[in-house]
Amino acid sequence: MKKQKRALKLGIFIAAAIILFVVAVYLIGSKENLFSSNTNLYASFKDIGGLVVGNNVRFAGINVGTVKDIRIVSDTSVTVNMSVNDRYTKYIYKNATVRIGQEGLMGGKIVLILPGDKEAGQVEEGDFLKAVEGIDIQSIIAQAQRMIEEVNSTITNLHSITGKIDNGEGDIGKLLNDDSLTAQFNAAMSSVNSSLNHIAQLTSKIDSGKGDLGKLINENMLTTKLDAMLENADSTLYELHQTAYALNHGDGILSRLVHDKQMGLKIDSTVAKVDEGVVQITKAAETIANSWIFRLFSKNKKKTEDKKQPVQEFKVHAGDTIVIDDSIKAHIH
Amino acid sequence: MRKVHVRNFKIRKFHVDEEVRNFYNGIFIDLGELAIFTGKVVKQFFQPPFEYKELIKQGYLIGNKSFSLISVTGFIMGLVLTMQMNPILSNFGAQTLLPGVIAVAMVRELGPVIAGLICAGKISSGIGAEIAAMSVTEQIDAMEVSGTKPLGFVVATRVLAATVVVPILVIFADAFSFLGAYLAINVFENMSITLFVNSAFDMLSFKDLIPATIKTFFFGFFIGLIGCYKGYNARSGTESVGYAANSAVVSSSLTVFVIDLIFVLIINIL
Repeated sequence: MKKQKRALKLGIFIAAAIILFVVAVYLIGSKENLFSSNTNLYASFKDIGGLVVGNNVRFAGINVGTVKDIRIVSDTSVTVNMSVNDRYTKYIYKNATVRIGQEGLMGGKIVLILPGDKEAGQVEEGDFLKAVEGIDIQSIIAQAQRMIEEVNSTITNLHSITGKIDNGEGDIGKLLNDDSLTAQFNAAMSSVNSSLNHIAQLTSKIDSGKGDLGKLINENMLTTKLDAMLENADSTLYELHQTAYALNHGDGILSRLVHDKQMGLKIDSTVAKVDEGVVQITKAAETIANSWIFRLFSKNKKKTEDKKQPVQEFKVHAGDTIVIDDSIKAHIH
Repeated sequence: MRKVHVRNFKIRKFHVDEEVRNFYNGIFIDLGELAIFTGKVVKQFFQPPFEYKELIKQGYLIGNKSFSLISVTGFIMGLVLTMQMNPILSNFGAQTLLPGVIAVAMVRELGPVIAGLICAGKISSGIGAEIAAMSVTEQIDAMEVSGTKPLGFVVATRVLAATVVVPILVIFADAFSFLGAYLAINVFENMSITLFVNSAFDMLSFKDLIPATIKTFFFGFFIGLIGCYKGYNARSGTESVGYAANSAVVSSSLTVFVIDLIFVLIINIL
């Protein structure tokens, strides 16, 4: 009896331990999808960033499966096999995308399935999902490091600039540290002020109508004259227009001179005839001039001209000033 | 005077060398004898007659009688570990990881090792003292004379019982440590039992559970075996009973750590 009781207690003891172990195995196994039907999905990544077999696959914030296998295909491609519980595959479509994520700041890596379109249809066993670049904590740290370096260099530059300003270097430094600039500025301002006073006086004079500029601005006499001039110019232009029109379209002599070719030819032949007449008159005049009667009168005339203008000779010495009359300048070559 | 001094010095030096040599020789001799003893015991596992009743009795004595000690130890370990880890994880804002961290720590390492050490202290010393007393009082010789195989009846049953029961005790230690951890977490914040279990088992994997469970079978086997070996080889005299119990505790505790180290190395290689 005592032996049976002891055996019973031992049996309960062992059974309780086995139940506990089985529960533990079930809980771990259900987490790793060992006791449910699963669909294998694949995705190819360039870099899986430390993802390992057994990491969770998450869809819409729910752990829907685990990473079953990781195979390196080439130097730029790693294929990840995801075992997804069949309960969730009806919500995952063929054009869904996957990326590697991080489970919190300190957590391990996870595969995130991003939803696709319903039109593409539900995923099936062996489907490849498109992989997109994930946000890697290392790249964030690298970016932050670059930013910090840039901020550091900016701070160094600012430090240098403020140092120069503080030491009175450059224009800004002088502006802040040198009082003479302020004095010069004050002087400049006073001169500007006096200039402005002058301008004010000038404008008051103009405003009161004093001087030509004041009259120009305040009186309208000039504009009245200008108006009259413009009216005259306008009527003149009208007359010119009419004259030009008459010249182009009228029957007057000027219009015919401009437009009538036959008249032009007649004038040409008339001029030619006049020219021929002049030649004949010239010949007649020469004949008259060469006649003895005419020579007789012309010789006497020549003698009187020679007596009127005797030739004078002067002796010129060095240093003498010669003044030439304008009437003689034309005969000097 | 000078001659005597030199002679005394020589004698003393020889004595030290002898002690050291004996110590190291003793270790290797013990190791060799333990290996031979292990072979004999394992052989008894497969040789009839199988002592079922004795096996159940030893299983009850080793297992059920150690249950309260192991469960209290496990509970306190879970409680203390959680209270110690909570401020550290709070610094990182990672209190939600606390159940998982405790679960991994207890299942992988602390549960098996703490339970193994407790068993080494309680079971191994008990077996060592019991068999040493039997050996000193010549009960072992009497068994051999009466035709009962002492290795099969006394040793094999205890070793087998320890091999089976220690993993079970480790499972209870883990379970009670979870309970202690849950209560400790609820001291700091409210957490439902469902969330605690989900968080704890979310971080656990078979890579944690299976090697740890296999390791405990080896713990149990060597705890039982070393206790039996030390008791079986006890010399005559009542003081040898105490020596056998003490030696069994020290050796089996050291063996627990050595097995743990070997398993960690193997798991890391795999």
